[in-house]
Amino acid sequence: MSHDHHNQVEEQHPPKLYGVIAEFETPHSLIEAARAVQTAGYTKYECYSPHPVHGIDQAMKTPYSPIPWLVLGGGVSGFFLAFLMQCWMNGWDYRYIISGKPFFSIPAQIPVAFELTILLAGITAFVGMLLLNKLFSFYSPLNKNKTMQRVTNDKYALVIEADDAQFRLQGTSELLNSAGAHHLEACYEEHQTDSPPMIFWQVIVLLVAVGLVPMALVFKSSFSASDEPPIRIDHGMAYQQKVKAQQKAPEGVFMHPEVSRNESNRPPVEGAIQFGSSINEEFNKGKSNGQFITGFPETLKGKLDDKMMARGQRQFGIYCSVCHGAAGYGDGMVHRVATERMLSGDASMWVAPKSIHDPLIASKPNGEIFDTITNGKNNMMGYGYRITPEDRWAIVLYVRALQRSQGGKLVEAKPANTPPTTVSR
Amino acid sequence: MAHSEPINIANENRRLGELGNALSSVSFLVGAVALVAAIAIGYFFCGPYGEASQNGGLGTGLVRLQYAYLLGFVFFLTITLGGLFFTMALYITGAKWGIVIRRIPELAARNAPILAILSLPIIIPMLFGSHALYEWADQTKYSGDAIARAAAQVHKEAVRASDAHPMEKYLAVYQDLIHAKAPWLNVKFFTIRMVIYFLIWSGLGWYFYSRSVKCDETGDPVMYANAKWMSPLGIILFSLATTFAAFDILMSLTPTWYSTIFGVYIFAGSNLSIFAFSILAYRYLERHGILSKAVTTEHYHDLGKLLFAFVFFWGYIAISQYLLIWYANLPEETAFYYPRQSTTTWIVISVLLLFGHLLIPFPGLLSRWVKRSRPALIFWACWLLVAHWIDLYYIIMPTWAGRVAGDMLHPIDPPLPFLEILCTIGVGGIWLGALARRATGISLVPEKDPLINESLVFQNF
Repeated sequence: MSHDHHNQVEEQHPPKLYGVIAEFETPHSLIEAARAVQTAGYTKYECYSPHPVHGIDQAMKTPYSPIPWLVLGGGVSGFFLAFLMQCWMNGWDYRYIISGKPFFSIPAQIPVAFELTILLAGITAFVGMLLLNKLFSFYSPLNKNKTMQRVTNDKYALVIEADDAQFRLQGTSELLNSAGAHHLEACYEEHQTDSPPMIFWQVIVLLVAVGLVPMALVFKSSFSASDEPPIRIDHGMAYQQKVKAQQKAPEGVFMHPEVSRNESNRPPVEGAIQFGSSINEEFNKGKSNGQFITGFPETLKGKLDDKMMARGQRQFGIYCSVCHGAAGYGDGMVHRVATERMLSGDASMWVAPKSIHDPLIASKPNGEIFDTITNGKNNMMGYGYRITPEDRWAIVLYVRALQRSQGGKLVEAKPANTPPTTVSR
Repeated sequence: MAHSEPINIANENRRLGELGNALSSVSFLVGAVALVAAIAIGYFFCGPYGEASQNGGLGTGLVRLQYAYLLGFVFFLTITLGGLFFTMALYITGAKWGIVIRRIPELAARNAPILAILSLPIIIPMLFGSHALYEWADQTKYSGDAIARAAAQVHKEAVRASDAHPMEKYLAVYQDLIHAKAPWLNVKFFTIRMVIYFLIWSGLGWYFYSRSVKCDETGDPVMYANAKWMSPLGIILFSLATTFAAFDILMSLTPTWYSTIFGVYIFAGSNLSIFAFSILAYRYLERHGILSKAVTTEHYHDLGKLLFAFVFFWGYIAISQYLLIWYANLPEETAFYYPRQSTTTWIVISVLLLFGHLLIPFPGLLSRWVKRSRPALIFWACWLLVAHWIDLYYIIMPTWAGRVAGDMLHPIDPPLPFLEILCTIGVGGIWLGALARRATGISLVPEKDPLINESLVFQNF
């Protein structure tokens, strides 16, 4: 033994004996020593080597690691977790038709189930390995030992802890000597406490507190409104170096040689007719010589029949009724929801859609109604891009029919052969 | 086992000797008897279920015999290709552990020329105008002639414009698609390609086998260096040949279907089968006192790990192929799965494959204990060889059943696979007989390989 017991000077607090370190030159002698120590009945000992040593587990009679079972558990729970999660998300919480497949269909769940199986198994392996190896402990008296530092490089060591029931300093040392130890050393705990200093914990608490601030801010902002533009840490795809319609091209963007940098659009090909600039002004703009027409365009002559009326009713139902209401009183679903939200304080401003039975609107010429559908008015957007001119005229036809149906006089039903008597409404 | 004394390879029994002669004779005999029996059954029992067929020539037993033969042929082709790949993989990775168990895969790979000969019964009838196996081989119909092609297109457009069921429309497109593929799928080019594939496989199999055997005699480490140098090139050639061969031999059975992952799918099955075969082969040798000390539990453990890995790899590839086709739902792609889910029996076979090839062996091979236990490993090796056979049955036979029914999408139910099993035994007998004959004259372990000692003392952690 190279160290004797500490002398009497530090006797007030005698250092506690941690264990005996035996140093070995070869992995083979380490295995032999481990076998001898195991046979002698020690339980609290550990072998240290700079590389994995074949056969050391058998010599130490190490029980099999529980890691495989933990990993299996992690994998299986990942698998079922993925199925439950997708079952709830796709089948219940956020049902969304994706390429005509059922909401909950097993093949679609496989990739996520696979990934989550791997993920949880991997995390379990990693965390389980750390925990089982006690890699979270901050202190070991072996850490500052010079012999043990060599173990990370070119030496092998076997340490028997003093806590072991079999441990007797003399007897244990002799055992290790006879097992071929190259060098023996007693290891003492330097401090009575094995926890880090108080300042360590204070710093940890402080860091955790500071680390919570951004999360708290994010949490707060999800419950409050702000007039400021959103803070973008990373612009992502919001702003890109690309040409946008009707804008000057940014520097560094490749441009077609025919196109000037000041206008992103290529000039139209010769002979092209621009959208909405048809030669048939009546049909496409509802105007004749710059004046809105009162009737219907010549092109539609002979087509203003029940079929067109039904078409208009259908298109009105699709595009117009959401705001203007099915009967045109300006009480569509959008209006009702917006009003409700405004009353509850969720929305700030809402301009109610016009009733088409308003006398001012009823008196407008057909062409102007067509123009309003095409280009929009005030808050109303233009529908020229999504409704064909023919359908727009069909809507005008239907609007006229609606106005007549609501603005007319109620007539008392009479037998077919007697002339109707007009009753004021 | 820890740091025990290295096994002296010179003290090991490492030659087949008399056993090899007996094994090859018995294999050849069994193979020949099985093939003759298969031909006889195919000839005398004409209908698909043994009765006379209503569907002209396609329902006859001789036609089914061709499909059954193709199944047996491809089964042993995949083992051969797996052996070739594993040999090259050992070289390219510089793996030390596997040197001891390299000889059987090498011998399997060396069997490629045998399979080239065994492919003649598939190719020669095609050269004489038979199109019983591959519909595209019908030269009178799909000659690449412009008029026939135009007629097929007119027919296609007419059916497409009608309100037919999407799968019915697919059938109309079917013939037009085969016309379109005629530049690739024609008998002449097919034969040329088969020659190229077998030249590549046989050349590589011969190269790695001969380097290794030469090293047995001379102990010249240059042999190892040469083989290592060759392995990357070999893997590139192998991958291309195997991918295209999978397209040609198996994928073109459904001539309109395409799946770019299909080559990898066959590659996965190839590796799985060579590991299963190696486990069985080394266990057989061990039982006869050959290499009983050199091949240790550690080597079995690693073969078991690879077997396990390729069970999952196969599943990964199979699901990937299925998932993309299922999601996109395009008629020309689903045409592969549609007939395989059209009747209860075919659904049972599909589900059998899912469970037998993936869901049961995966947990079965998961434990370290299983991979280190000889009986358990033997059990799973046999199981997976059967599963691999069912996999190939699932790829090949629905085409036959569909053509008998006269409708590729609604095949008849499969009959008992006695003809298929006989053909597999027949091809296997010849394949194994050739392997045993070649193995008789040589050492069954690369005994002077520069890395052999590291392989002998190899241990798993």
